[in-house]
Amino acid sequence: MSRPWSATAGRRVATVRRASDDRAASLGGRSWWVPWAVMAVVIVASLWIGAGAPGATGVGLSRLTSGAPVVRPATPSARISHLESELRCPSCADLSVSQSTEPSALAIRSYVVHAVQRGATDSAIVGFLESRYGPSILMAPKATGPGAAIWWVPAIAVVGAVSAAVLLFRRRAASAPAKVPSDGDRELVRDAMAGWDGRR
Amino acid sequence: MTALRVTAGVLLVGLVAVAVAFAAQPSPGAAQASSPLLGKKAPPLSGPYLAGAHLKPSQFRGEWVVVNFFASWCVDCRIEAPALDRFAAQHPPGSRVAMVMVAYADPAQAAAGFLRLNGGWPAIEDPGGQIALDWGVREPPETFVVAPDRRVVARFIGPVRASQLDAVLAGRVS
Repeated sequence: MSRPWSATAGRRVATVRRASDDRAASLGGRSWWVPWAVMAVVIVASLWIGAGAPGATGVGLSRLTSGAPVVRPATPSARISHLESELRCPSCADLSVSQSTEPSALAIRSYVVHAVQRGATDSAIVGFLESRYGPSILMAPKATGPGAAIWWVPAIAVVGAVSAAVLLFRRRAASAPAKVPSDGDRELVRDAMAGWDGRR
Repeated sequence: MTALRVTAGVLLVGLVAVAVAFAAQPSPGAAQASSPLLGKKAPPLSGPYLAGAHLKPSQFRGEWVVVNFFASWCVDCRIEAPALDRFAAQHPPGSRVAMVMVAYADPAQAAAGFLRLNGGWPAIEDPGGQIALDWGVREPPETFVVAPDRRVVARFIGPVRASQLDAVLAGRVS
């Protein structure tokens, strides 16, 4: 003889409630922040690795212009390619000189080739071009001076947004009504189940 | 219904008036632009004249020099040419104001043709664009004003007007 449906359902409800209570206890305890911490670590690691990868324009240039150690390409032609990818075509919207065939980009390419052949350092080459065209000649803004704002403003915005979201969720959770069913709730469920059993 | 028609009529007249006012405005001319060179010593300006001679940096000692980067393929340079012509006429040789044109990414023959049509100003070639690079030129037309002490005092991007150049000189020439 099979068990009445209501008994099975009741057991299922009880099981789900127990699991839910366990999860709630776990999240309400000290381990709630673990998934967030893992996510933060993954994001930071991805950004760090991505920005430091060979050919990553932003970090390459910020290193180049901030004076921090740069892993120099081995050959002069690799240096030339690297520099050309980090310098903006002056008369284009958003292309590097390596991507453009505008006369101004060709002139800069020619200058870079001759300067590298002369033995000029990367920072000397970039510094000269910056003295002629201004900081906008760099594909990525400098990590120093006023241009650094473009790096730290988004970081502050992200941290602020995440903090605000955490505060908001916590406040909502605190002000939410208790999840323990009242006697009235229990009575309603009991009546509903009794009605269901009666129909079967 | 009549009120609606009156409102629509007023709106239409207003739109037409705004359009006419915008169309009747004089061209704003070139934008005076910033440059890392402003206030600094002008980069060297030498090269083969389009006419065949050679321009030497020492040639303009003690003079104001208006340096204009142009190209025969540049539409704004054609728009600008009459203004430069007027300016050159107002400042003939010996007036302590000289004008030098630099052909930007333009074959000598084409640049010389442009000058024949638009004015016979002294002009030099810039093979490879290295003079333009030295001056931080992005695209023509660009005009720089260099003081007698060799400092760059103004930079204009786009078609410059004679009055804009005169304003720079009036503020500086004693």
